[in-house]
Amino acid sequence: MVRKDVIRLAGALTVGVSLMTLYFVFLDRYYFVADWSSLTQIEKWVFSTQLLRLIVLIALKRRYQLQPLIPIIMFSIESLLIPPLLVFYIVTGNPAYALAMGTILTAWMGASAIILSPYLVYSFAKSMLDYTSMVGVLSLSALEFAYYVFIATVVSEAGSPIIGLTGLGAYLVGSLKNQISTVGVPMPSYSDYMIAGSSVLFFLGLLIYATLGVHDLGARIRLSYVLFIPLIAIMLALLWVFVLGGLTAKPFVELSSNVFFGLTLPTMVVAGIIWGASRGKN
Amino acid sequence: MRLTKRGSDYLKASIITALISSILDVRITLALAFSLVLAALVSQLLLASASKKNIGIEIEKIELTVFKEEAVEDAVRIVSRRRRFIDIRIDSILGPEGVDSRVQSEDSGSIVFSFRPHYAGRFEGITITFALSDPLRLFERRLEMQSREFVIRSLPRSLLVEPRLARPVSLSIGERTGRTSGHGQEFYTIDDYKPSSEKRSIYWKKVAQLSNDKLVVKVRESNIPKRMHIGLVSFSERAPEEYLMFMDTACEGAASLSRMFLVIGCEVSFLYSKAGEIRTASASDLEELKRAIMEMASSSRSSMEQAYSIAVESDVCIAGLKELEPKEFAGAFSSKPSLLVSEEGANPWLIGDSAIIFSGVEDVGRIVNRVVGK
Repeated sequence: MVRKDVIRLAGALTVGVSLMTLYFVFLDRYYFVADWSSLTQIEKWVFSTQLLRLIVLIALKRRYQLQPLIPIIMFSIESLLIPPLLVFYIVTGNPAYALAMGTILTAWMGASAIILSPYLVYSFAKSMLDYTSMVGVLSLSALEFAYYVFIATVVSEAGSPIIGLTGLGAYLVGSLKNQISTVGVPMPSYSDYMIAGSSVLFFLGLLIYATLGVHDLGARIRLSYVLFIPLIAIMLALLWVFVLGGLTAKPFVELSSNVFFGLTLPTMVVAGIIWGASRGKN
Repeated sequence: MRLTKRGSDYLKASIITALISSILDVRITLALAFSLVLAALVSQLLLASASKKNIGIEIEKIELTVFKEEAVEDAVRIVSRRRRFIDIRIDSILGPEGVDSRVQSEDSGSIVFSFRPHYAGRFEGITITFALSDPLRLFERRLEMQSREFVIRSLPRSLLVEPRLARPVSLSIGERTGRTSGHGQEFYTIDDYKPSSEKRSIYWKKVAQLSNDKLVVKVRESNIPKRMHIGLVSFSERAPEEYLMFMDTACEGAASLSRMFLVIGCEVSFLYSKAGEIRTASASDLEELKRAIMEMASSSRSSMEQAYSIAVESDVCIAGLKELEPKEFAGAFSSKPSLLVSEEGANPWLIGDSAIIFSGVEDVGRIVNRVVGK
């Protein structure tokens, strides 16, 4: 029991540290391109209230068991302002309402990237500790990782200063739009050592967590023997990539561009074999 | 082999992560999903490699002796080098039919079980079911193993009861002295003359020496047979549960009869059929009697010819009412002093006067008197 909790904690911490590293990479890069010299009142208001809401939420969570919907509502107040502003704009035709809508939305996105991101890392790491379903944790992990890698890499590509929170929000949305329209992937260059290191840490943390830390493995098998299993799995995965690279006479980087045949399909096939072989009655 | 709850969750999570990662092109989580299914495959192969060839058991006491309805403990230890990677637990231990088994305690090394037989007799074999799990606990398997060497000897409770000493009708000719008064050749004691005393027994020489006019008689010692043969006749077909009940009552009857014979001074010899031949098991004291009854309890169904032989060679027979259903055998058997095990649904053709229908509690002294004093 204790062993399981320690492994789970170690897994959650590793994943948390890797995501926080990506967040700090984002902050570091944003710092050099950010221009906060002319923040509007709306931006100031969005930023300060979001910070305040975060503090209130943390304080409340320490004392009460909150429903999962409450943090979502607390951080989505800005988006709730959009429908009335839209109504005012339609009724009055005043372009100020449309401008306010745009400013609030983009400022909210920019502020969320700065303030909400660490809270999301904390929430994800905590969800790993309060495990209920591995499906939830692992599927969310892909989204979380994609988001942090995206914000960490995309700001470094900014050619000009990003003005205010609205500028940050607009830049993030614009970058995401470009990525999707070119069927590109919001993925980093792994030559970036900070991101590559965080990725490896994230991978190992989740692998250890998934294989060893979710359920009580029982005291009968020594941990050192159980650790062999993920280790062998990593070696097999590496071997597979190299063998496939050799077979197709393509370098690994080129091979990895077609991830569906290289990894997705084999994952499905192996999962199918496992499922098929484990349908017996004991 | 089947997936555990965790295994099902793990596999679903790997597949969904692979799909999401593939859509978003997040290669690190895609590689994670691939590694997870490979880890599951390795874990599954390890579990699949476990078999009866590489898993064994050590039973602390291979033979147990206990009185019926009393519990006895034994320990079972799993021996396997696969335990490094595979979690092997004893899921259940099933004793032979008629014996309750229960887990008493469990530690990493061994599992202590208690066995409680509900019938007297000899019980063989044990079935142990192992629950096997892979290192990642994604799969589980059951493996059943049987050990034929394990034996539980359930002694009849009649052996615990002090027999009411039956005074046998003494014999004038017997193989050994009966240590009671009787009609043997040996002098036993001097007693006062009673109107029932025989006149030829008056000890005139002693009377002459006495100062008063008291008459005394010589009392001779009784003679009894050296060995009593108790035959177990069983040739009728019975359902397993019926056979357990039959053997239980037969053992109780054999124990009651034998204890009385031993108290009188006779040795006891059981005749029974096993593996197509007639066997004997003898006893001259209580410890030997326990062993002999258990040997008798291991008997098997005899042929009709063997049943006749046993009946002829025995002084007293133990049989079931079902054995008296065939007309010829019942007729021949009717004159034999016998203890007939009460059985539901039996329709005996003839029950002789020398028989007692025995359900486990009846006094068998009448048969003892009859066979010793014949």
